[in-house]
Amino acid sequence: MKLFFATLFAKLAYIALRILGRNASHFPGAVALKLCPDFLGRVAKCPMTICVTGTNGKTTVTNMVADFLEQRGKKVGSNRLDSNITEGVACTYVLSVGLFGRPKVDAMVLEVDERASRLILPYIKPDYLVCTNLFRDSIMRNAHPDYIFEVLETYIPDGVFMVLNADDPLSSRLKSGNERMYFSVGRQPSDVEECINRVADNTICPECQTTMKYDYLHYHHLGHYRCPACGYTAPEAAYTALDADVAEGTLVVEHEGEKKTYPLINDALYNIYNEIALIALASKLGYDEDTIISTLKNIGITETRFRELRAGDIDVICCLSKGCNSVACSRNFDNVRMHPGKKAVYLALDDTSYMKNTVEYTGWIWDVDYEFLNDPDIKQIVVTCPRCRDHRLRLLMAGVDPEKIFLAEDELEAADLIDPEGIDKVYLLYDNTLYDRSVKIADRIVRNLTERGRK
Amino acid sequence: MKIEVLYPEVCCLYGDKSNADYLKKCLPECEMVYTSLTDEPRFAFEPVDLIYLCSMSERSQELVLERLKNYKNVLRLLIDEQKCVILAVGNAMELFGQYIQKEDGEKIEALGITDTYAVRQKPDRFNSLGILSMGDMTLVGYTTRFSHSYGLSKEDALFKVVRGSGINPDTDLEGVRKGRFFATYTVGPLLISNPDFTRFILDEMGAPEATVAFEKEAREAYEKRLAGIRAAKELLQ
Repeated sequence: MKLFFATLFAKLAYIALRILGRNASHFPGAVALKLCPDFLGRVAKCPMTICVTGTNGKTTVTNMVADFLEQRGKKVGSNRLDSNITEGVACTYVLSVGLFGRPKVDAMVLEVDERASRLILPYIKPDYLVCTNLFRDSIMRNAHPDYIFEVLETYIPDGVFMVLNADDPLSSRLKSGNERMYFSVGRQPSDVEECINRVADNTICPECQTTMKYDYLHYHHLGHYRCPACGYTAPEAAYTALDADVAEGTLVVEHEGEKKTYPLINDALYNIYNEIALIALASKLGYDEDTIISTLKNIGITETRFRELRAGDIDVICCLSKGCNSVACSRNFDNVRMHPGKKAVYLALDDTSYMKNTVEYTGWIWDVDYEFLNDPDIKQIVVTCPRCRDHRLRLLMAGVDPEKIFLAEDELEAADLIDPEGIDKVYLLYDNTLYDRSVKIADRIVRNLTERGRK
Repeated sequence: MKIEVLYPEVCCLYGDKSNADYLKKCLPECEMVYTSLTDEPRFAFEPVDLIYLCSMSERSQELVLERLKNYKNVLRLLIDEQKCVILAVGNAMELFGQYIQKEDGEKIEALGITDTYAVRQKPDRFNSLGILSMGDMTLVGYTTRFSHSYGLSKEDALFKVVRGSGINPDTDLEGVRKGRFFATYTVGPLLISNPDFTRFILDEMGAPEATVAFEKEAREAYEKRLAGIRAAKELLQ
């Protein structure tokens, strides 16, 4: 009866919040857990449960996996609304089961926060778990990658099939006793042999602590590693993404020595990782290559994460760049640098959830590769939000010409500082707490550029 | 001038690396030495002007202690005779104390150079902003850790807490000072965020002629942050 009432009241809470036009991705789950603390352990297991965790890419992979299964005709329950902690997962179950806790869906696809995994995974006991990677993240919440590894290692149940990143020396070692499959990204034109990033978290051999060598290194600590002292090396991947052809929109993937061409969902290297993780999982779920290829043609990246707009002759590219997450920001800075054209960059990276009562910690910005923005094709950098002075200082330390740096605390005022003279693209990089405001900022930038273009 | 950064492959958390980079910007002619876990530290066989040690994971603390124990006497001598500046931030401070008590009660013997000892409380994370003072100087800082330290006397404290927390929640003393040895739980851009403390460290290194890099911009960021922390309703995060 406890489960019945918990589900009933949580469903009612959901309906009420929706009627009021409020976000209902968290509270109904909190209601269910309040009334039935072991709610997640009591609801009946779905025919298939897939969890996705890891520092970067888990939202994108979760959405892509859920989209994929829906395209294949499955009824899917998924926490797409981005609440990936216990309440969010409980909320997803509330909406995916009947009043007596019986599943109404064919599959659950759940994004699971790494730290919250201890309160989720032992109860829902997934069939499959994808771990995209482990990097440093918000230091307040996640401390450091070693700690997150310990949490996952302790709380991922035995028997879960693991889909892991072969290129990550840390997460590839998770649950060594569980059955597993690896994905990887092969050598890329942009690869290096020595790390050029400010941070690389897992570069010493886990067996003998010698600094590992890379045959090729994509970024930070992801690449094909080997220990020169004891021979420890990256595990063999079942699926390896090789060449991405942006013009053709294709991605060559190697599996058991054979190469096949898949649609390219997005050309950013981190999104190639997300796509190859999906391909590996889909094959494990029993879908053949042709089915995967035809399904991927209809899958894209969620709009809250990436949008392309146009203002006259200028592209305005809006991209989520999670503040407090140095690697996510570095990836975006690298992408900005690598894309052709003359650019202006607008940075709104503060985590605004801190603004009400406290001051955001900015130590993380000193782990971000602002050096990538010190590029001749980047003509202007506008920094905004309360910590804009810290971002300016970081840019100066990265060697950026002070003449290129513009600063305004107010985000809309900062939007007016974008100078269209001689640029082809504007990159608007925003923290996830600023998504709603990023829409207004983007509108303002587009309006300004269009008006100036007309003049 | 020579700055030795110890074990950067594991001692590299929380933006701490930026302090060494900032000193290099202030001292462009300075030689930077990055010593890995498999190398013999430079301080063991030649003079250096500053030894810098950053935050690390708890697992790495044990690895680093294993390495540094071989140089315990050299380090003690350098500190006692004030041969060079040593700056240890975050949980690097704990390595110089008596011991680190793990969550299960096991004690890991540390270098025994300072009187403090650390007690881990994992998985409870302690995060706090702070305002600290040293003489006339006011500093802004941030700490994030799984442990607290105890056994610090007023005479050995590096900072006094104005707002925030000391080396444990029951004290207003923060950090350890022993001659030219400076250790603090403050993590991240300690020097960049505090131009006056950078000036102090440069002077301690014997470089009074060196200028604080980007001082105007650093001071603007410092003033804004100081005002923000003074006004903040919450310091614990």
